[in-house]
Amino acid sequence: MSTIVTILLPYLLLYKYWALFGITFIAAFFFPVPPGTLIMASAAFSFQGYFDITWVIIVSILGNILGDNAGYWIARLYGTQMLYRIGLRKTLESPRYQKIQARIVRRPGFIIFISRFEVFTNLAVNLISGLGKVSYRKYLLYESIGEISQVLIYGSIGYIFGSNWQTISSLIGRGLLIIVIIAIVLWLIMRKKD
Amino acid sequence: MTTPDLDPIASYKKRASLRLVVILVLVALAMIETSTFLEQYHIGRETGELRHTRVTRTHITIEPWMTFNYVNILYNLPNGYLRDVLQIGDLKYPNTELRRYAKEKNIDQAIFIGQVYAAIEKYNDVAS
Repeated sequence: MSTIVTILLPYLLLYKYWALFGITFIAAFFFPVPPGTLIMASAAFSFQGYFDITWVIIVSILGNILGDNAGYWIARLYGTQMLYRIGLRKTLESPRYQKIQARIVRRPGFIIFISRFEVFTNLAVNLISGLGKVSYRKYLLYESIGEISQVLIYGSIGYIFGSNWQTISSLIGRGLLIIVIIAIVLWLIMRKKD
Repeated sequence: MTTPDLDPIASYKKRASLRLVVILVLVALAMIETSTFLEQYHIGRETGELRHTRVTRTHITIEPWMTFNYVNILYNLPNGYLRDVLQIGDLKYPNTELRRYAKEKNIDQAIFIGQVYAAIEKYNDVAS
């Protein structure tokens, strides 16, 4: 179990739903803590009688959606100025970034949905969607569907496996990492062929 | 300011070899992670940790990040039981982490958790 999770778990036990809301909000807004593991842990605590699963699901969905929206709106309203101020003008104006942004703005649905399942991509896509001024309606629709799916999947796994959530969480984390590595390798090979 | 253009072929070769190194490192990493994943999966199946647990209380490992309140609920203990048996004077009890309490009292975490297990066992013996 990662250090950050062992630091956050006692807060979850002490402040319950407030802590869960805070963690999911922060994870979706700006700081990459692993919300999936903590949702899984909360669902497992529900199985053990410490939490109520309905509230875990509702609070996690709310935290995630509000955090995403905060990230999107800050990026949309102040993102460009802020990034210019901290010296990222070159990155923002680079053809590669423009290409990624154009792709997300043109067809945002799938990318916004799938990015909800990994904390770093979640933060990055929120930022790019805000900077690229993706239609808010579309953004809200796809990010809500993505977050609800994410919370239901992790919540169900935690609740089903109960007290064994730590083993499952570790396996899922490792499995996702392997998938990401394979995807990067394939992308690098395909690019080489291009 | 622009940098002078390198020979395009040399530049391409340099980028291609860098890409190859990255690919090899990633493949090695994927292999290590896959091997650990399979090992963990195998252990999980052997120990039954990949199954849904119906009976929870007898299988749970007590860990330093847990609070006394959580341990009380997990093991179905009366609220003040651990406080009395382990003579815990902390005002925040039961809302204190085990590791924090052990640190404050200068007790080794593992030894303290052992004492908690012993107290739970004693309670279960008396109850049964």
